[in-house]
Amino acid sequence: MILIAALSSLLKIIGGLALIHLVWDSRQMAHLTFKLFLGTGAGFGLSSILYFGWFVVKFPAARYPLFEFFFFVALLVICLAREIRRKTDLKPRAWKMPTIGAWIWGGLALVALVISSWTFWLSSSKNPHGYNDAWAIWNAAARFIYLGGDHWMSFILKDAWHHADYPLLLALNVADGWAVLGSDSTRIPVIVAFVFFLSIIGLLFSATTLVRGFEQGALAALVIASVPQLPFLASWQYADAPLAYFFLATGALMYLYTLTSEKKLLILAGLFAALAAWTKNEGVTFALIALIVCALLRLRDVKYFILGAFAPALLIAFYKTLTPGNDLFVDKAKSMAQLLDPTRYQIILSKIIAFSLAFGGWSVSFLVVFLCYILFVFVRQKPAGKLWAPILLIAAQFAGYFVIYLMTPHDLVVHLSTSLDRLLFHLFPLTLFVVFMVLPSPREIFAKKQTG
Amino acid sequence: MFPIVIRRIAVIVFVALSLWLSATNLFNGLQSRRQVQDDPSNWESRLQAVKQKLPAGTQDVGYIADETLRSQAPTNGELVEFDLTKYSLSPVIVHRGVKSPWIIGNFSARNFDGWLKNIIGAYEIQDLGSGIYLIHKTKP
Repeated sequence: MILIAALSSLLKIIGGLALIHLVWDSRQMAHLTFKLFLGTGAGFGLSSILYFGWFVVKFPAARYPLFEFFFFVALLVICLAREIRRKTDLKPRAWKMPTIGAWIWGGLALVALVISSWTFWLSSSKNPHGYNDAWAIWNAAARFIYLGGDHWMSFILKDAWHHADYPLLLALNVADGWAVLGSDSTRIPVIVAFVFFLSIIGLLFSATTLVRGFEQGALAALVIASVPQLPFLASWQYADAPLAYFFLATGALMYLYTLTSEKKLLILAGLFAALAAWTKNEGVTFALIALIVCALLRLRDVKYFILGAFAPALLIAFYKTLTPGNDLFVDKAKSMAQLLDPTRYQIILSKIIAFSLAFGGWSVSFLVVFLCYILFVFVRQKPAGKLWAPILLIAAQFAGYFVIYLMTPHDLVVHLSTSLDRLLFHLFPLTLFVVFMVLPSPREIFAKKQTG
Repeated sequence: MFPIVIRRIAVIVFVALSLWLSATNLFNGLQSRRQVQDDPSNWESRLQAVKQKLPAGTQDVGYIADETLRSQAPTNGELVEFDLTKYSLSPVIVHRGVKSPWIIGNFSARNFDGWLKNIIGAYEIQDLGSGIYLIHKTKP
């Protein structure tokens, strides 16, 4: 059963990889790993869009898994056919023995990955249905989609599950997995969660490697894998880990665009920003911020970003016409008045400091240790490209979270206590990416001949 | 800028600390792995009889519990039990209240019959154990 579940996810990942390659047809081997980890999110995103569209046009739910199978196979065939038509040189490049340093850093990252994966599976075995919000929101929505079949959309306005206005990328993928399997086994949401868990580490590793070399990529992967909050949050089966993945993908693609001026990267950035909005409501703010940042980078290239975002954005806009309003914006006058309340600023700031210091799940403060590391190894050097783009994404999204807390109609302390650690995590992988773009790599630090 | 030796030591210490703290966390998890509190699975077992006894085609059910009798806002634990009920019975929609012909009762003690009779009049009730009751309104 677990094999079928894994194969269903694998087909989406391969299909996603084909989609990425069709858009960004770079043939550099160094891009392959990055594309693979972009493929996971693209595949799951595309699957959820197709599944939702299938219901919108009222095709029978039972037929969807077969359609999806043929769709992804067709995508793969188109991709391969194009490669053959272009007579791609398939001869492997001369294999170069990795350096001892690369072996060591790769090995250390692998150890961290094994520990983190083990933590994930241990936590998942304790909570196979996920944690509270998983069965109140995300998996509850998935159950209504899968068990409700052709009629599940009629449940949206009936308060069948909590927060029916939340986007459906995660729930549709879980429901799709159940449809393939033929039962609502807890293994499907666990596997979906594990794919996003691995993808966060893999995407951070591959994106960092592309710009700063293998050792720096391995160190970034080691750091994020060593933070227990990642396997825990992923195993809770919330949408927060997938959202963090989409934030990272968007930010990394935008930064790579500033390095290469390849417009295809902006198409992908638009796609991933829109998929963030299709994952969680916070992603809607993020997608809008990403659009603005893109315009600030180069106004005439915004069309490429919009091109990538168009289809998922249309879908989200349609979905929002079906759903009840968000519970955060019930009393707009009161919310606006709260913006001027200084005590709320004080409470939010003090909680941000406390949560940041406790962030990560280590027995000592991850933030303090990481800041010490930065302090010791930092060397003033100008990063390539426009690193301010992902930094602006992080800062503006964080400011957005701050404003939401100011305006929330819920008890502020309870709202902060139950969500702030997850909101900080949304921005964590992208923040690590930015930091590792600036810090010297282990290869530079351990080089026999020091430069600069 | 620190001397290169210090910077190298910083990298080694940071990596060692990261791996050590991550491994310690895993070790703690392994030690407590028997302390499993899988609420949804337990709650699904608890509501298995309700699923079996509800007539086929039932689209929605009511839900009453201790907090309904108290006429107070539910506690966190009671909110969790309501969410678990919604999750366990999906795709049947569970609403708080007694509007539906079928109602699930979730009570710590059988002290609600008088109250229920006042509210819905005639009804049939099945005690399904563990504080779960399936109530059927016999007069619409």
